[in-house]
Amino acid sequence: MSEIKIISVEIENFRQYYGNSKIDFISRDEGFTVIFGYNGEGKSNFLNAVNWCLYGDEIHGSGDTITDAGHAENKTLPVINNNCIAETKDGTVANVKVDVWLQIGTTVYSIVRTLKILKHRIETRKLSSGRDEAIMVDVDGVRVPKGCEILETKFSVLEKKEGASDFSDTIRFSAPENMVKEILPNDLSEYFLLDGEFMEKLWKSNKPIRDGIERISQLHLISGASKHIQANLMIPGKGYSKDTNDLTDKMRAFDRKITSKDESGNESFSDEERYKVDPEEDTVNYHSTGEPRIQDIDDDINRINKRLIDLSDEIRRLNLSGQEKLKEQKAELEKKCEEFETKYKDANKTFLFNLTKYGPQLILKNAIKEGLELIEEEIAIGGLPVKYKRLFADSLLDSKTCVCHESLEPGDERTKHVEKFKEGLIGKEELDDVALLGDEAKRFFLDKYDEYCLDRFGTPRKNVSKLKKEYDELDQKLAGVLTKISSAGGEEGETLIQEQRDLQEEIKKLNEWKTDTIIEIKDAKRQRGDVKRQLQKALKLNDKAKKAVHELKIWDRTVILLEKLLDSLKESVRVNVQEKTWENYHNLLANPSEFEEFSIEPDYTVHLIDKFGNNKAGNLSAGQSLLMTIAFVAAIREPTGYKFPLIVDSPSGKIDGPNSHNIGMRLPYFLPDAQLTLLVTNKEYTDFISPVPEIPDLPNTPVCKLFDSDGTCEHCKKSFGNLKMQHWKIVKDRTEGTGNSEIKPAKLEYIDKDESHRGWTVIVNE
Amino acid sequence: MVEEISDPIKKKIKELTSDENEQKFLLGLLQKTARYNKQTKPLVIKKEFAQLLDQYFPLKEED
Repeated sequence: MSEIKIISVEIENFRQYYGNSKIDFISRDEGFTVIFGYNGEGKSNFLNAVNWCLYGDEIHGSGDTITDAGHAENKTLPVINNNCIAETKDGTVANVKVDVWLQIGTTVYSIVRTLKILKHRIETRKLSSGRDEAIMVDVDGVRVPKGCEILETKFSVLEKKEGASDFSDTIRFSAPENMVKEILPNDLSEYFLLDGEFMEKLWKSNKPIRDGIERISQLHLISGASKHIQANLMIPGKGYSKDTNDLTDKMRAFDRKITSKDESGNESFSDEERYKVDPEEDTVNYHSTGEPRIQDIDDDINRINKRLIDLSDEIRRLNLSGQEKLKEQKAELEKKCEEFETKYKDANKTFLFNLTKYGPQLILKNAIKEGLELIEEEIAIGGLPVKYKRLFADSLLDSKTCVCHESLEPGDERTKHVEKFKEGLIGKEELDDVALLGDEAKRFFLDKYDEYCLDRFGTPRKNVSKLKKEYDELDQKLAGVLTKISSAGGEEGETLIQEQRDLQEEIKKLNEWKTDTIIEIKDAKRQRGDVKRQLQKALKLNDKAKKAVHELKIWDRTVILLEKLLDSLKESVRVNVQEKTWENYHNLLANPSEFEEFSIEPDYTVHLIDKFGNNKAGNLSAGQSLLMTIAFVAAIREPTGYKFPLIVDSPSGKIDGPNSHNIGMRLPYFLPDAQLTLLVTNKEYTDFISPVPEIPDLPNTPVCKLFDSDGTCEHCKKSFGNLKMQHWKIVKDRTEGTGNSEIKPAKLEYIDKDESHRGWTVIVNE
Repeated sequence: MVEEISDPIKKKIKELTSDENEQKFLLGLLQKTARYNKQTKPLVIKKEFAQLLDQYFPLKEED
């Protein structure tokens, strides 16, 4: 098959692309085309521009970052550029145009889609920020500002043969959609205009795997041709004889059973409602009989299996988030428990100390009381304090006057008496301490006995009890949390688990229905075969039916040949794709030991077994899924020989450092015959690769340099890409908001301004 | 332009039948099928397939 190449894409006023941007692509033997842009500048809408031009729809970027207005940015923009419509005068026309040039062999095709939009008065609404925003409306599926009218939609395919000086719009292309369908079929577009969202979701069900393999390898044409023959050509017309007419009617009845049709040729449905993922979905019933019923059942089993995978994810997430919350609670409770245990122990220590120190005082309360009474009696008679008695004696001797006013002359009998009194006080000063102690005991113990007991015993004891109670409560809570940790998920988890059980039951029921239907079909086909043989016999005996017999014979053999062709190719293509995908994945992956086994089963179910024996195909991380998809897309091209170009949006957007290194090293050697265009951000292309602790010697060389360097990587011992890249840069004037991107020729350059502005970047050519 | 049938299919057809007429007939059927879509009417398919059969396997007198 001839290689299909993109020569150029010209975008005019499409979404955020303002004015005219034209990108020329280089072929694979020349290198890679790289379109560099920061997030939100229009990478996904570049894919949409190509998709819109070829097929009239935009499928990329629906999962983009949600803006403040609550919409994915791609979908909030009108199809016509905001600046362009603002500059267009009311009552005049503005154009949106995308022109894609493709080359097949030596023939070049220009595929052009144009919208002519007549601008009237644009209606706006006031945002909370005070800014006016145009109100958007959908006109025939096209998003335009309210007040605009679509005057004309034009789609054309022009052809330029080798040697011709110009394109010719020939009558052959009066149905240009068919022309595009033949060059790059719409249902394959997802496999050559690869966006991150598609790459992340490819492995969630087997439908895209089946479609990718069967459509790209054209197996669907073989099964389609066979079906057409069986449905339309294998029963002869009527009018040869009554016998043949009756037998023809019988055959048609069996065919109706096999194809689930009623006598008028309309599809026939049963009363059984089909499975709904979302209860809001429209109710659809299963076909009554035959192959369409099997197809319905298979589709529903597939959808239920997909839901089961999502449910497992939800349950796991719920458990994980529940576990995380519980672990947080556990840590918090452990901290509090520790805190309260210390507080409780300190309080207990204080209480015991008080008990030891002040307890005896309580026992001796009466003795203290009696002692105090004695002291008070002594004070009352002047026996205490001793200090005052000595002062009294000193004052008499100093003044030389007795209390009876007689003089106290030295040597007098009276003076000697006073001196003897004073000498008698020596050694009795301790009695003053007893008086003081008694005073203290009275004021702070006996007079405030209740308060004394409360302070030293009552309050500390209460404090101990309170802290002990709080500690016990916390300890109980902690024990509860520890129990919950092992069975996290809660009520929500229970509901999901119940749904999981119900769905497993549903699958069991559907498999039983499927078996019954297969038996019915086999039976109908066997009976139809008997009738067919009778009919052929009858027709052979009828001279008028010679042509019909001849045709039936040819169609019979043709169907057998087509079935044989399909069987042999299906098996070989599937096995080939399986082996090649696995080989490619290993080549791309930094840690190939992560998975042990990969297989694509005859029904296109994928098994990717990890080292614990679990099938991880439906639960891959974004990065793993992305790598697997690149490996798969590379694989489906080889056995089919279908050489279509690839435009990949963010090929290593969510991949970690080691795998980014591998992508950078391997991609240049991948798909050697595929024209490759990469839409990249700085993060995945020019930024230094982030180190990881497990691989400390991983070089930080950015992917752009792994592509174009010469020589061998010291880390992985593989050859660098030594590849030429043609760079283009999406340039957006950020001061004006959305609606002013352009794509300009660019180059890779090393900048070295200062510590924080050092490294590779893509800059527009001067 | 008519959709090109892949080389592996062409190769397999040759392995399946040595009759060149039959090979061309099968390829013709596949090429016709490539042009059909969900909107294509069964009558059109029936007519075009029958024409192909007449082209490659016309009913001869001796049949």
